[in-house]
Amino acid sequence: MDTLPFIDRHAEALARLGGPGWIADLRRTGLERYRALGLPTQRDEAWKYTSLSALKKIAFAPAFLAAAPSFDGLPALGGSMAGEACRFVMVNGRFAPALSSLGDLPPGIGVSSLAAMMRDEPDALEALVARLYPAEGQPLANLNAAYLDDGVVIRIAAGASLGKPVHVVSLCGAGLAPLMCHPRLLIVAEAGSTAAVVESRLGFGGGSTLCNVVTDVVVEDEATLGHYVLQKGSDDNRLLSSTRVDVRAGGLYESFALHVGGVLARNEVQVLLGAERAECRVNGAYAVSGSQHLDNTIRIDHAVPRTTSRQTFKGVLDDRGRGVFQGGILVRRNAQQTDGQQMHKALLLSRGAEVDCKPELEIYADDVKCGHGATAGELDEDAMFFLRARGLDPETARGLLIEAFLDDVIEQIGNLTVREVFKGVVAEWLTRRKVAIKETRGTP
Amino acid sequence: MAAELSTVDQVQAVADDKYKYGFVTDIESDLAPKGLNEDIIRFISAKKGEPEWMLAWRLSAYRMWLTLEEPHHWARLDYPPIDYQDSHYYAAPKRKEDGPKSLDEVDPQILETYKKLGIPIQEQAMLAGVVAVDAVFDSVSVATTYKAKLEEMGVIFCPISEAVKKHPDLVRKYLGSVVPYSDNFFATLNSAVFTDGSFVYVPKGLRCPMELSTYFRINEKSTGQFERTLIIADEGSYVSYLEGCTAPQRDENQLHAAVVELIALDDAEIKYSTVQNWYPGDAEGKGGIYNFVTKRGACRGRNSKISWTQVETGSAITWKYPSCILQGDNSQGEFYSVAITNNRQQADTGTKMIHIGRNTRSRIVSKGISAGRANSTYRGLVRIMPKAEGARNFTQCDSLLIGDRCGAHTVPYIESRNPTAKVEHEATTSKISDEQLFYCKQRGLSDEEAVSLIVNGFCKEVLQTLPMEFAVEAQKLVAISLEGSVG
Repeated sequence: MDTLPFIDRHAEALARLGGPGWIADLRRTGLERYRALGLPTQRDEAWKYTSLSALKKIAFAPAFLAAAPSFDGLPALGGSMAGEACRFVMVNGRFAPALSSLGDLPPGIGVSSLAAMMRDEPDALEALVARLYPAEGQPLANLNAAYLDDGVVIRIAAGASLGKPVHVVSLCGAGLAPLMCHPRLLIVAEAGSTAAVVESRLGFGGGSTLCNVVTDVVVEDEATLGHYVLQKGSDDNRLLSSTRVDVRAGGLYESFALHVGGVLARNEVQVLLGAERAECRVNGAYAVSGSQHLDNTIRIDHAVPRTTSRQTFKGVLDDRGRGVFQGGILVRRNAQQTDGQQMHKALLLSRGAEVDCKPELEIYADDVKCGHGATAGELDEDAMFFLRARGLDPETARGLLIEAFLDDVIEQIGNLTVREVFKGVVAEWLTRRKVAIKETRGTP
Repeated sequence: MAAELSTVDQVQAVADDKYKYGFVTDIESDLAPKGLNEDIIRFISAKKGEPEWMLAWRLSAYRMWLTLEEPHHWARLDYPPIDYQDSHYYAAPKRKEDGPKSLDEVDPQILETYKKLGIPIQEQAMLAGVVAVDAVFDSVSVATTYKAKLEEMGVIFCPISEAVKKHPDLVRKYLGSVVPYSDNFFATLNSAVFTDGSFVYVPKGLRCPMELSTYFRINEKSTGQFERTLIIADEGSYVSYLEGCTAPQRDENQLHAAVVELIALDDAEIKYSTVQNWYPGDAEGKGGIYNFVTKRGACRGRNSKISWTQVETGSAITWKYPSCILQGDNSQGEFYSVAITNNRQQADTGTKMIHIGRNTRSRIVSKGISAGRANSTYRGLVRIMPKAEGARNFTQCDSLLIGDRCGAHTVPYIESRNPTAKVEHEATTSKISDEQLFYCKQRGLSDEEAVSLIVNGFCKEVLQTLPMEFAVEAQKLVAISLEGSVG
């Protein structure tokens, strides 16, 4: 008789979940904290623009309690990412070996399923988890812990360098009844290593789903990690993502989130720059249409002197789409010579669209360079006129300008392979838009 | 070592230099008993000789207030809980009979207080119509100058308690129309217990020839101050209103919850300027005023304009968001702000620009300066409603930090629901660089003169928008507020 959503079948789920005793403790603490904190509401300042109340009306069952999904309507994964080092596929939060190809990974790179590690290497896993920083105050991360079951663990050994990206595909869908899953990703880039991880979050086969994913990232001394996320859910996929990143001395965390689909998505990224010269670039682009809602909430914690952060987000809003950007920069006392910059630009294409932006600078040190900028508006009339004067039809001209608008931030992706793939995704979105417009016009 | 010692000495010297405006005038006060209940509200209303509808309005507000929760969760402010029952809700200086008929009848002690504050009220009557002052002493207006002159032109400028009696139609029509009594915790409290404030009505087509001005101060020990100001600019009129504040030194925290409502009809313009310099508490954060104010203007008419300028240097805590509701097509809202916090002061201030009409424009320029252990937050909202075709907003907020124990925060909220609207926001944070200080000192300026010069330069864009007499005072205040912040 729980009034809190998502935990009414928790006891039943727990009985089906294995793992060592300390994992059981994590699940119990997660549940207790989730109960204590409750589901966030719009009264919480961090959730001012995103409501989860619609989710409460859907009875999501833990995916692993439901029948195994059929793979009809599975997207062609081969085409989603050329030039990947390996492909790790999860279906509704669980590792799907049949769809994955882990291949021959170079030495020093480990990609394994979380469930397998719980079973085969519990001590190594415990050591990894001990390095993470806790999530006491986050209800959704704690809900994820309460159902801790499967996911992926990516380990990049000290000094290792991986040219091609590791590709993690997370598929949600194909359920008869509404399903939820709570996968956990763990990425540890050890000292001096260089690697890139791509996460594709895709929907398939219809069906209502809620994916509450938690990603824990540790970037150790002088390591460089690229973390690129593609979100292309269906109109029945809901995604709540909490990413927590710990960057150590001289480390660089570069992330990019491209969102082109999913009825509701919240990407929360927290980065701790806890050692000198730590640096992060948290960027993203989005294109929302229909009645999609996307929320990017970023919080960078500059805890020590001489750290650097950059946030650049650009979004295109069509139909009744709604975009939310909340970007926070916290500069703690004594975190002198912090350099933190932030930018959010939104392009509104239609009357029903809405963008809500709340950049936040919280600064307690005086010798810092911090700034932020935000704009919202429509396409530049002069630019439109220029293209129209050269014979382009209005939709082509508009498409070109939208593409240029988003390209500007996509160009900042460090990994060239990923950059090209993401550009392709945007082009595809624009083509779909153009076709949709033609169809509406075509029927008089 | 020597340098450190001299810093300590300097800071001490400034701390010992008692708050310049901290003195208490001893006048018999007509006090309501402590506490808040329906009887107190009836008492206030009876004291004011208010009509029945006014009392009913107050009581509705009070009943509403009982159901509200004090906002604590979103503003970046930290203060102990306020005991609303431990305050007097009415304090009026005792009057001889029906109150003064002219300046000569005003209690000389009150006039003395104003003199110390630098308001030459005695001279005002003799000076050729520059400024008319509706002086508010604690809760009751004691003197109104130039009233007759203004009346000739049809301008109504009087205490709001008088307006309730003399111009009930105007008050009933507009009071609470911009800030309804249900608006927020502090505005609702104000609606229930407000004791006085100013009322201004500028008739159609008149450009008010003088700056209207009022000086508020809090005098009686542990009295809350609940001012209510209502300004109406009828079609095609213009008025500039000045509000200035200084308060005597107090140990107990004092609550100030004022409400200001501005209404601009077609082609009207209101310029509202504030210099706020209430007692900020001592260096340890003891005492000081809690300034929880709701200020809002409605640009009801086409082509109307409301411009807010504020210089906030005082108060222990400032919670204030002068806003513009841009309803009329082509209406304009402006907000210029300088907020200076020193020692342990906290300020969470900014503006709201709600764009409803077509081609509405707003401009926000905010300068926040933090020194000592103070925290200053800019929190502003720009909301573009779906019908606001071609709306335009530009926001710039800059923060300056002096010392490494203070904080400067920026939280702009931007909500856009119209694609033809253009919203732009910029924010920067910086400090006074050693090079700047060195340059000034090399040319013979002291530390404090140098800081004053640099900070005044930083704020220039805002200070320039103040009317002349205020601009001079504000520049001095900027310097005084930052005394002892560098050494």
